[in-house]
Amino acid sequence: MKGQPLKKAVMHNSDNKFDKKTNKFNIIRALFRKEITDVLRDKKTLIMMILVPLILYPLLIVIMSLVMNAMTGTSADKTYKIAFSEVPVENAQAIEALIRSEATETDFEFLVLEKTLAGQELMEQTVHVYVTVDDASNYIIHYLSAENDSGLVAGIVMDSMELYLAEMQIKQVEERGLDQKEILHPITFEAQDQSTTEESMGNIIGGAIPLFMIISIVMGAMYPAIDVTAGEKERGTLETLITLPVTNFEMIISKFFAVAVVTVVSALLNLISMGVALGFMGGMVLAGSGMESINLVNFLPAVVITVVVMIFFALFVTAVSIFVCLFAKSFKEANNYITPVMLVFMMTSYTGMLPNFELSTITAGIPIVNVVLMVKQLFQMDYDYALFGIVLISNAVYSFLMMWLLARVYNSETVLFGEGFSGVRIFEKRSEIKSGQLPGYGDIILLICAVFLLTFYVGGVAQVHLGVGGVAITQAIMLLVPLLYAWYLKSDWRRLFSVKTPQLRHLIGSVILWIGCFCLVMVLSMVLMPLLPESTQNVNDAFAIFNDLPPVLVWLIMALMPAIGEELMFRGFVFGTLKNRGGVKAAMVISSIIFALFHMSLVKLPTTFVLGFFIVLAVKRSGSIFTGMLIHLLNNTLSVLMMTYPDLWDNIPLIMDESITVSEGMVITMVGMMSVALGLFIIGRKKN
Amino acid sequence: MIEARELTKTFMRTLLDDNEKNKKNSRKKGKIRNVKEEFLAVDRISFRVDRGEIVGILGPNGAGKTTLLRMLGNMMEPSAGEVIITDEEGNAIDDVVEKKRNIGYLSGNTKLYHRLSTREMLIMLGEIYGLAQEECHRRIEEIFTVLDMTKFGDNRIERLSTGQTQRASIARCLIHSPSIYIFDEPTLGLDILSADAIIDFMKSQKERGKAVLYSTHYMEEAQFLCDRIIMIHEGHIIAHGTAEKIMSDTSTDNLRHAFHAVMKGVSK
Repeated sequence: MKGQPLKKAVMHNSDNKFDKKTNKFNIIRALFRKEITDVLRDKKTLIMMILVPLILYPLLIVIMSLVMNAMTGTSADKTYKIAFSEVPVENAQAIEALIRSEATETDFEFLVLEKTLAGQELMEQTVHVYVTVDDASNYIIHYLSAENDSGLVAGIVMDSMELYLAEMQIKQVEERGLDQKEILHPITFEAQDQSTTEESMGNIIGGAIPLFMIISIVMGAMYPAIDVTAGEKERGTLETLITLPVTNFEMIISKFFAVAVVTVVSALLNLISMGVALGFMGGMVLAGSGMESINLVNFLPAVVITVVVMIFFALFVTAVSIFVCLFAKSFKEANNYITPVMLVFMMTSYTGMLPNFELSTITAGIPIVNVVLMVKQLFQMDYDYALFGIVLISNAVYSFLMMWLLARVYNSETVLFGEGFSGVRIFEKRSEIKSGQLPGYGDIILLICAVFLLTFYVGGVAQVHLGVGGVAITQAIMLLVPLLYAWYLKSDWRRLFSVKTPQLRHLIGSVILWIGCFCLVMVLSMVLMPLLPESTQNVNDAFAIFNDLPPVLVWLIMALMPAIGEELMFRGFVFGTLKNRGGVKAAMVISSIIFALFHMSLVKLPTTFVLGFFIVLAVKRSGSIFTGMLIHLLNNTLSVLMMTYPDLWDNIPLIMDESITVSEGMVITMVGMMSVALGLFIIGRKKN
Repeated sequence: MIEARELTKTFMRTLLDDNEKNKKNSRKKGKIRNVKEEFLAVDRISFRVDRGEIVGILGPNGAGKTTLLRMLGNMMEPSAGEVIITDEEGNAIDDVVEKKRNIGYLSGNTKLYHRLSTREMLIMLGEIYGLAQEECHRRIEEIFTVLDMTKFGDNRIERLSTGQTQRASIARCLIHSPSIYIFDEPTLGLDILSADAIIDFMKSQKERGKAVLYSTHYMEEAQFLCDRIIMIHEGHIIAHGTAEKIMSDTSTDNLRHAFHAVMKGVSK
């Protein structure tokens, strides 16, 4: 280019005056086209998107049917040997004939052997089954359940023996000149299926379809989501993108749409391929089962609605996957972040397999679960359009919320230029961990999973065997795991767990705050009561095992231990990590949400959230976790008192009432709010 | 024209990437205080680059050059201060997106889309910059001719050689014909031919009345190329003026020595 002045390349800047309004759409379209070309030219994505569904499912089906054949079918070119020892000849012959007529396509060879020899031959499998009979006409069929062939033949022989028995009965009845029907069949019965064949098939496949659907959506979204976020960072094109005159919103929305399109297309390909493969296999399985008459056209509405809900759901999955990957700086890191999220999606999709777990006004609002249940219900030909509407709307709302969050987060420079967050630190060797480290975001997820699994399995088993002791163990897990985790990370526990001696005003303020909080929670639960049918029954049941215990012990296990353990976990580990890594406000909200979710009760979800939020507010303002423990303890103590001394409260108005009037509710709300405000005022603000 | 007015950027550094010194201090105290420490990457820097001018930014690694240029490129928001960009008629532009339209930004970090060809990429950029289709194609042909890219313009960028990729990068900055060029260490790690191509390009743009701002570690290159030189260290301007002025101020005979002299003056 030397000596070649770029004279023509110099263009007039006046050309650059564009109409901004029409531009926005063009920009998104151009970016979208770039993203999609970029993604589609990536071999990994292509393989995941096209090759896997086209080859994997048919292959899987072929292998499965081969395995099934090998396991159940009798091989045509095999001769099965059955030996009789000490069985009278005419009886043996009769049984032989029945066996041959029972399995006409199988070759049998019948021998007569001496008993010990027959036993040896069975061991060597030169004889598959041998039959003996004693003086009481008791036939014994000797076989080896560990050998497939032997077990198979034994089954055939058993069936034939049933027939032989029936034959003998008829013969006996006839010889005595009795009425055959009266003696042998005094009554008859049969089962009549009133479901259409489509319905019964829908019931069978209804649980499996959402599972496959979610897996294929999740797999489809994963790679492109990583590619457009962490992949772009790793390839170094993100900075190029930022030099362009585009807003962050335009960037993220075009990425979102590109991933969404790939996800939907790949999910559709998956489903079609799976449908075809299943169709073939279904044909094989169903032949002879009375379901051949199935008219697949009847499933058409279900399939169409499934595709619609699938698209909505794919948008949600896309937004979630992009969101998670945004924080990673490399492909590998993104993979680490997204895998647990994808596992959650997949695990949740198993809910479709649970019996008696169905779509209701409540479940229709739970992400992932609602889609699973809706698809299941669709294939059971049970169309409840009001519920379906809730599912679609809630999915649209979730997708929108996630996208909004995406656009917000994508603005921050940590995401654009950041070095990525440190995800899971616990996998580092302890000797290599520097002291004073903060846990990563991944550590929070891991800790919650660990505590959840431990309380569920260890605590569950302990409760079954030890009763109250088991409850104490469960609480101890909650208490110890976060501490051990923090110890392993060599975290600065003062900072992480907000360990600080509270001042007197903090404690007084906390008590007043709790009173207000209690009032508000009470009104809230009254308001929510009619919406949530499950009532306090469960709580009373749960308390039954404490009936015989001294109240002090109950208080210790049910009030004091959770107050310490749960505070260490949620206001300590979770809030402490989030607060020190990101914004305090987000940390407060997120830790309260996790706190509410962890209680595993839909009924108490809003109230635990409110409680958690006020507690975290107190901890944040006082800088001391002990204020949180105090509020938590007061709250639990009251519950324990209400359960152990129910009579005590009869004379005290409101607390034990099942319902309150509107004016009472208003007064309590006012008192609650004032009390909360007063409590917060007394606690004051943390000085920095 | 592009002007930096009291530009400042603070980053929050957490303990995770704290240096040894801080860690030792915190151990001594027994507890860790400044969890999040404010770190001034760029501290109230002001200067301007006019049309037909090449201004070079010099400074050691970690001096804040890249942060400064990113802010000037409107890719990073300043913590304080502002970036003023005026169009040909001298009117200030307010909108960030509009500001970016007037800037061609190139750095070692602005990689190209490997899976697209240069032509595809330029078409995409043309659409984003809002060029009409025919206009866009006309410009692409022109750029290909001028940069001698016709032979490989339709190959995927991942298959291009380093020199060819560099030309594709220049093409990227050219497509919207900006009035300001910001180059962050554009010649870093390039062979002489590719580096010369970039230098020639900057010179030709200067002749065309564009404002060129660039950072480099190569003193000799800056000495003969730049109209003015700005030396920065730890977020501050430590010297500003023509190469001759800086050399005479430090009574040295080349920029390399002048740089050492200025740095020495600062560390005292």
